[in-house]
Amino acid sequence: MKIAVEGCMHGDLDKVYETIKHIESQNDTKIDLLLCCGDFQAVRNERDMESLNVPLKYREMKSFWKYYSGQEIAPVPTIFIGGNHEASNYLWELFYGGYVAPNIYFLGFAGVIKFGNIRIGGLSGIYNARNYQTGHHERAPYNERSIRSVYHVREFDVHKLMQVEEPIDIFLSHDWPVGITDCGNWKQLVRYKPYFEKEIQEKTLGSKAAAQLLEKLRPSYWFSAHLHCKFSAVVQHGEGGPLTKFLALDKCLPRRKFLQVIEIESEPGPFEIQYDEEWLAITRKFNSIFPLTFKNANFGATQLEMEDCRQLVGSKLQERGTKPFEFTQTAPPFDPTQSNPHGSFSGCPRNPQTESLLQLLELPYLLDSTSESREGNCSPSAAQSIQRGSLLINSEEIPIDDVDELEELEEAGDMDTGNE
Amino acid sequence: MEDSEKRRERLELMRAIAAQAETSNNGETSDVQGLLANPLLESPANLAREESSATPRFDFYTDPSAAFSANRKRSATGNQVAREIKVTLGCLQLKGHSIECGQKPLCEGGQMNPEVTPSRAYQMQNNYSPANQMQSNYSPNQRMYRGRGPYHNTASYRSPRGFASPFPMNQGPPTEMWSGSDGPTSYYSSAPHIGLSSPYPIRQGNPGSGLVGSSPSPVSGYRGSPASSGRGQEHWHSNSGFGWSGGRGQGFRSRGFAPNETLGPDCFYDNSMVEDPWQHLEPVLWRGLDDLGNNLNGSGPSNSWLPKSISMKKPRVSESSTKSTSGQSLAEYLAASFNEAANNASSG
Repeated sequence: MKIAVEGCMHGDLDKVYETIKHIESQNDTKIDLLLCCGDFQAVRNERDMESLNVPLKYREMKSFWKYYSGQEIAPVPTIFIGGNHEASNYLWELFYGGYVAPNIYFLGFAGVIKFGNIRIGGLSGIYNARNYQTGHHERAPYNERSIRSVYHVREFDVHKLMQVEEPIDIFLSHDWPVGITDCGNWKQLVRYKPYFEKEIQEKTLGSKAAAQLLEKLRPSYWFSAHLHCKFSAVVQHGEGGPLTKFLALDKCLPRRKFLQVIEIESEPGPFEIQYDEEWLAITRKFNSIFPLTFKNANFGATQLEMEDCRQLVGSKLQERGTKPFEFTQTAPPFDPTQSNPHGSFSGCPRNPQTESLLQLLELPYLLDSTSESREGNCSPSAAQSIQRGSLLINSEEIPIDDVDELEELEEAGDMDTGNE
Repeated sequence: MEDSEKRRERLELMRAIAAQAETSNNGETSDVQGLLANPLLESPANLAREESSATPRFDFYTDPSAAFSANRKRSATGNQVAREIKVTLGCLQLKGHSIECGQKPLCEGGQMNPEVTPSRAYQMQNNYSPANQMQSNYSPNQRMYRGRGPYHNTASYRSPRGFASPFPMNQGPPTEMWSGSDGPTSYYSSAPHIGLSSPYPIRQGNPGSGLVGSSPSPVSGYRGSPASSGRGQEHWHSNSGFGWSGGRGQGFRSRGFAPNETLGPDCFYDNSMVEDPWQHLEPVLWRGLDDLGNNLNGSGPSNSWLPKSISMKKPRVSESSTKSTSGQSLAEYLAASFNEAANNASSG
């Protein structure tokens, strides 16, 4: 199976698919799958733009809407995770994963699926210690704080991934596992990105959550993006232990290394995206403690036994089949011939894919439950005493300018270093 | 000779009569016709009036192509009007008015004037200067609809798997369609008809979207010269053999335009994309988060991946489990404890 891996998409689907076609043409080959490591920017229309945390100068419709509307069809099955520049309202609809457009599948905030017999896991968002132990309290329409925190990785999702026992072939995370630079040529990296050096030496460059998952899951391949450069590493898990080949890729720009084709041994096709039984069982087990406020999940409060969940999911999938539910539009696509119907915010619709999946798993729909601790809904005094886990959080401590400083540095570095 | 003298007299008479008639018809005309006006004495308005009134008569006598010349001059004096039209007509470039190339690009963030008819637009496109090409083409990264045109070839596309697409492919727009003057304008054209390969609505700005920036995406839009788009189609089609439905690829882009969209897949492709990225690397032993001095809570070494809520509760769970004697569940244990307490209370 030939898999193309892409770094940050930033909505440039046209160009990436075009490049894939070019690769196929140049090398007389066929790509079976495209994996994207975040910042996909699944912006369906102008309203989605309001949930996208990007500087104004980067606010563009780009090309996703064409695939969403059906005007274009992704020529290669595409699987992606979220990054820190996403139409977060749309991805929230598909928290458990699903098709954002025909042939384009979102892995969910955390997820594992199968493509053929290849098992692919992923964690969306970027790590931020400040929000790691909070719940998913953000709801659209986002304010200037929540639009910057909605994509921060949560312990709940990482905890679910940590339950995975069956081997993972490929894992995707937007930001790099912290410490991964030790397993590659970091000196060469800092020649291009000198501002990484300090953080590399301080062991703070990257995601702690991702590193934890790397250590636990030990996938054969791990792909990341976020830092807009190409970097490879080979991790050995213990003496004589399994290897993880790590690769980070750039964003889609001319003469940049944003794409990589790898070949993985696999059973012959047909290659199709399929639900993963173990992951659905984990999803079922932990849904009852899904933290929907500032408060973190109470991990000890899960009632269901994994074995029971597995049994139920197994029988359900046997009955229904393993193909994910089909894509459905839940918002009007951008229409370049029409002016924007800029009405008031209409809320976050229930995505039929999510509803169907939860129904399959015999779980309640929770995504539209009102967060009791939302900043906009509670008084300042109440907001200052929102309890999360064992810690008290002062919501005012969340800085308004919670930008990704590293990324800004990186942007500056792009200009400094030119093409790599 | 007599004839010639008579002719001269007759002509002078005619001139006098004509001058009289003109004077009587136009009371504002200067009495000193035929003499050069003194620009220091005459106001520009008067000069203009004088020129406009004198020109036809002078041309009548001196220029065999008076009618044409007069039209040209009228046009010259009407340049301001033409420019005004140009400003409002968006992409229109009037034939012969190369001076307008130096003006502010008319498509720049603007909208195509709804009064412009498509046929008029076609004519204007034929006169594009290179500068005009840049301001014109619809977003070059737009792919052609695949359901139309002589270049259509779906064979190279893998059909989507796992579901049946509910979206029929675009069947191609009408040959020419021009939206009404209300709201955003759109313009469809047939590639074979005018050499434009994109049937896609040409976007002139993004009315009402509130978007910022001037990307060559559909939001802003460009349109290339017919020649360049035609070449692009053919080039891409023949080179790739992938059946791209034309219009997609480097040739479709305006040359030299700054954004990335002007570049073809060659510029995005790198040989390293198909090479083994790990070939020169040796495996390095993973030292783990503990060794890195990290844990997810930000302080102290992490001995377990278990979340705090589990780590803290674990002793209590184990404590309770030690009290549990026969593999009871927690609920069963609690129920038993409750019963036991109730019994004790009742017995006490």
